[in-house]
Amino acid sequence: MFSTNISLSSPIQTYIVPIIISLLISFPCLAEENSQFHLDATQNIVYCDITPSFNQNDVIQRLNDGTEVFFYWHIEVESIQNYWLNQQVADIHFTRQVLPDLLTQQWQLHDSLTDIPTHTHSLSQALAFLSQIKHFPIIDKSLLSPHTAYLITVSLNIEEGKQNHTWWNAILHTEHTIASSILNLP
Amino acid sequence: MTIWIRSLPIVFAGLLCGLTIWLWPEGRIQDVPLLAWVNMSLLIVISISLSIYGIYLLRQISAPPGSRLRAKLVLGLVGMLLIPAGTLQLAANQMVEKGMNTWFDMRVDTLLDRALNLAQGFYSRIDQDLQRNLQQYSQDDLLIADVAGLPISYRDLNQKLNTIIHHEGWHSLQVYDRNERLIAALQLEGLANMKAETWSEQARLSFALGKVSSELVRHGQEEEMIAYAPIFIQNHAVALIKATVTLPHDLIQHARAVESDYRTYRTLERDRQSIRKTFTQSMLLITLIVVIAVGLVAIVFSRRLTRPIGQLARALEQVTQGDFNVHIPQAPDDDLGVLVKSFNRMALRMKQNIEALEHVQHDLTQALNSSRQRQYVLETLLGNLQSGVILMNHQSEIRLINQSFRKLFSLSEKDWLAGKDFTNLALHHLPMIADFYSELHHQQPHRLQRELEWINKGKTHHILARGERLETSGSAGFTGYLLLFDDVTALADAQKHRAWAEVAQRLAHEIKNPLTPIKLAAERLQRRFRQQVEPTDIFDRCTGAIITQTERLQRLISDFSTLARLPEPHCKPTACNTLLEEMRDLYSAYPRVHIETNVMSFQANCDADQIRQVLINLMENALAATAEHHESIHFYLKHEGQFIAFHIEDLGQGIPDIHQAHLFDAYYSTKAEGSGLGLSIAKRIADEHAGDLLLISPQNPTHFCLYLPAQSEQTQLFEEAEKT
Repeated sequence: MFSTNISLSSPIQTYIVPIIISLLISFPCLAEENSQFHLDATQNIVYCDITPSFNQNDVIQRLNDGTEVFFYWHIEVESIQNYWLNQQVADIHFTRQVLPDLLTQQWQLHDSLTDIPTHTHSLSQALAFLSQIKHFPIIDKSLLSPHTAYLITVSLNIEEGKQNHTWWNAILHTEHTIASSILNLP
Repeated sequence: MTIWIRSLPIVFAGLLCGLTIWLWPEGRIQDVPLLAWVNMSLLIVISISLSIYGIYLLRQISAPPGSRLRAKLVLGLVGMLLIPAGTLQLAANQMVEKGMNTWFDMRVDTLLDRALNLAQGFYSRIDQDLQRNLQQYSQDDLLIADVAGLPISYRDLNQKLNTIIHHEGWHSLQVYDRNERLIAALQLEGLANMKAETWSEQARLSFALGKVSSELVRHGQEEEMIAYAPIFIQNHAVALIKATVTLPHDLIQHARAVESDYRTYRTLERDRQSIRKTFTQSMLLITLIVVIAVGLVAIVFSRRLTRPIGQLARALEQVTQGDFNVHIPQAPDDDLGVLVKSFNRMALRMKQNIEALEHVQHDLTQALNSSRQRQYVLETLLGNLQSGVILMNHQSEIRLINQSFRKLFSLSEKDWLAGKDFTNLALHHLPMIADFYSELHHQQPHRLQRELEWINKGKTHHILARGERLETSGSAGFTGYLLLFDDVTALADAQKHRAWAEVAQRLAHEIKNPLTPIKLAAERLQRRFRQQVEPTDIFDRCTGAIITQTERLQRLISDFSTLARLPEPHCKPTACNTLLEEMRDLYSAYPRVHIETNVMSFQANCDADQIRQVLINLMENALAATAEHHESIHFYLKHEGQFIAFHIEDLGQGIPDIHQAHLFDAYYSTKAEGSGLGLSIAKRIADEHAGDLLLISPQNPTHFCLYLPAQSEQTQLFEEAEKT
């Protein structure tokens, strides 16, 4: 009786339960403080290196359990205003996604910026794909004004399960700022 | 509303606060699911609402009508819901806890691991076989020779590939040169659907690394295991063999189902506590929503139920305070509606009755005022009426009596009052009036009029009595008797005097005229024939008798004239002592007459000549009464109240009882030569002076008293003197 219930891939189990769980239960391994954030403004393009601090064991456990894990990255560049709200200059959203295949023990990697699926048999590579941003171009320096302070904020939201594009997910979507830095151009 | 009912919301709020603290989520705020915060918010909102409502109830001094029943209904309904809801929640939590323990059993965990391992082994076995076999074929010299030979022998190559496919059971087999150009291909279903595809990243990686590799490609429900193996000639990769194995559909479905179930199971197991909490929170949320909904429904329902009751209570309060302008507008179509409609009808009827009563009261007030006015007028009229009036009901009970009645019959105010029995009083005090009333009462005449004689203190009064039977008429509804009494003594006397005066005038006129010639003739006869007639003495006696009787007749006629033509008295203040001194000088020859002059000089308002005539008349009567035995006569003066009293007492023979009643009647005399007019004239003079002449005692002494009105100043001085 019990095994029958488990083995059936009913719509309730497939969709509704994960949706309810995703709605009602928050992801426990959210981004924490002490993330590493480095800006490189020596070239024409401003690059950054980001290594967030989070509970890797939770992510690894979910990947081993076959749960899809998403890293929603949000990088925002704002011109700092003294007496008014900051003026947004750039707003970058991208998603890193790992889809485990328990049968072949492969980790399918998907980057929303390139939209080219790759896969790996290494869990560490999958984890690095999700969490490490290396030499990521943020903005062309020609778009920035000299002698102006810019606030660069990096936010991250980690979610699991099926990617949900429903309207309530957009409402409930919460971002956590993991790092920020002020860029002063000469 | 008792204090414990008022405190119930506060108690509930306290319980909910305790429940909120007990269920308060632990951990970081961002780790707590939204549902928990929703529940906590609802609990806090309900607690605050109940607290506010409880404080409102506690501070409320007097509950508005219907609020008590409304509060009881709401609390009762919510209370009835809370008990089964709480029980249900506890039971559901227990069931979920047991279910979770059953679901996440170790055996299930092991079973799923084994199933997944089995599926993984299936995929791994296919992958390993495919790679191993493809690696062997890639090192086959014949195949290498076919691929590397120039020109390429496609026929030998295809035969070789055909042999491999059929031997291995692969789905397709393709050979690419180093430039990724397809140089040979073979598949089981023929070459019709064969497509030349570019290398995948995995293929390029395999060619670049020179290693056999594989990848799993999914086409919807289908899955293919693709392996790549480079072909080396002299350590140079010159070609790439791609072998495709289509996995069995049934096996794939089961394997993927196992994977999905494993994933779901692991997810659920990982979120086991969260699921349990979520279930608890969900049940709590549902319970709270149901409680709130039931509470709102209970409030609406109780408001709808108690609104007519409250309106009824308020309306009754208004009616109690005397305001009958009440109407309850809304009436639901149920029993309460019937009650409300009945109340409206009752209030309308009461209002109409009250208006009718007020109208009647107004009419009665007007009638009462009118009756009071009539009574006042009647009482005033009766009080000022000289006639004695007495009104009795049919039971002879006195209803109304005026002062003139008491004064007329010298009655006491203590005995003759309204409410007394007239018959008994009349029998004791006024027998003739009792007879008159008995005649009116028993003989049933509607009207009765009689002239009664009533003797009071020796004086006869002529009373004109009139009786009227009052029958029921109109709205008065009164039956009884009305008696009116008038003292007509003066009128009767006046009529008698007038009659006698008229007779006297006629007699005087008829008799007086021949008397003078008779007297003159008798005197002439006496003078002329006295010497010629013998015997002389007889002649003298006869003529003298004629003359004497003629003179007596003349005096008699003169008295008649005096009685008939008694002049009006010219009253002026007169010293009474002077009158007494004149009387003393006049009767000084009579030693038995004792006249006492008073020390004080009394003055009476009278005509001195007429009073002197009265006093002489009284003195002459006294002298006549005492002529035989010379009894003493006592004449003195007194001031008695508002009158000056002249008292004449003699110890003569007295006046018999039979004469007393007619003593002052004209022409009534006990003397042989009396005219019977002396006392009558004296009485009339006294009456015309507003005084009186009374017989105080008939004998021993025979006492007469003449009352004359004294001067007012004299009366005042006399009273002061008496005080001193």
